[in-house]
Amino acid sequence: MTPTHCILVALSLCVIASSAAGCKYAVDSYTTSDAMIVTEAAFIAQVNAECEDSPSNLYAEVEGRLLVAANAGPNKYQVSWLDDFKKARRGDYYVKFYDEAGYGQLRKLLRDGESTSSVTPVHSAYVRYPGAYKGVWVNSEFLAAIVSMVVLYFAYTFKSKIVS
Amino acid sequence: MVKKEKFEPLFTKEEEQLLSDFSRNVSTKSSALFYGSAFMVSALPIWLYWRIHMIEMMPALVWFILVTLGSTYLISFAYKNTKFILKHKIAIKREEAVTREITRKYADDKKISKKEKDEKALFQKNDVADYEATAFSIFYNNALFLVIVVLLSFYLLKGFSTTANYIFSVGIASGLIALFSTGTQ
Repeated sequence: MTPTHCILVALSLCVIASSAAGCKYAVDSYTTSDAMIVTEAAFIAQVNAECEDSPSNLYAEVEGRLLVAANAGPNKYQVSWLDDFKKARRGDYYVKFYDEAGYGQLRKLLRDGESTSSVTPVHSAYVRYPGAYKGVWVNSEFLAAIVSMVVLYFAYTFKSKIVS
Repeated sequence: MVKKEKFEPLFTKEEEQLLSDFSRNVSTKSSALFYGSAFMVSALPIWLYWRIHMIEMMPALVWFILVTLGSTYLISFAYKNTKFILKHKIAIKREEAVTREITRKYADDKKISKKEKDEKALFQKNDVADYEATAFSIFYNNALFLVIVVLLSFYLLKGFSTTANYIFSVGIASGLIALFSTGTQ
């Protein structure tokens, strides 16, 4: 490889790096709010990239889980994962987004069992999960039965006093 | 020449009062109150079945009318019986207080004799007992009816179709309170 080629390759890598680094990312998140009709909680992070040359693929890492973002349109990516309602904790999930290069480094470090803190994500965001509705604590018919029985108890006690 | 016969009343006022006390007959006003209240309580489960059990109104309309009318009769029967039982007991409990009130009210009135005071106390006592027994009879039987309807419709007869659930819940509830009201206590 001639020095000219080396210079050209280095310059193109710099251009790619600078274009990716110049992207602005905005993240919208959604989580399941009703646990009555579904069995798992869904977490979705929709990423909008504002840049001239957005990455062809985007990857995410959340709590040790590696995910591939789906292309949801021009400059739009979507990352999603499922978790059982019993295991899903309430709170903020820290999601880190990587481009191709970053993802490759990440996988290599994870494969070697090394720390991934040296890999810089292109963007990071929080996905908030406030919990999902799992049903009422007390059924309404049970409450109605209890209240009516309490009223009857007082009525019966008073009647017993009168009759005695 | 025809002699005009003078009709004298068979009973004194006190005797008439005693007869009405020991009679199960209620006045027209009480009867209207009982039937009106019984109808409202009997109609209440219709809302429950329509909004909560999601019963179809038109196919069940005939059953609604029949069961409501039957339940109205049975509940008013229970009201009358319960009132009859309670009235005497309440009258005994309230006698002292009413007598004291009448005595205090007419203590300075020399024109009224003791007999008239006793008569006033008797009527007042019976009025109070009648009113209190009527109100408590309605309250007690309504509470009992609603408990039985809720327990039957949501728990015991849960597996029945909604129409059968309605018929048996309201029918059994009104039948039971009519039955319980025939007891001596």
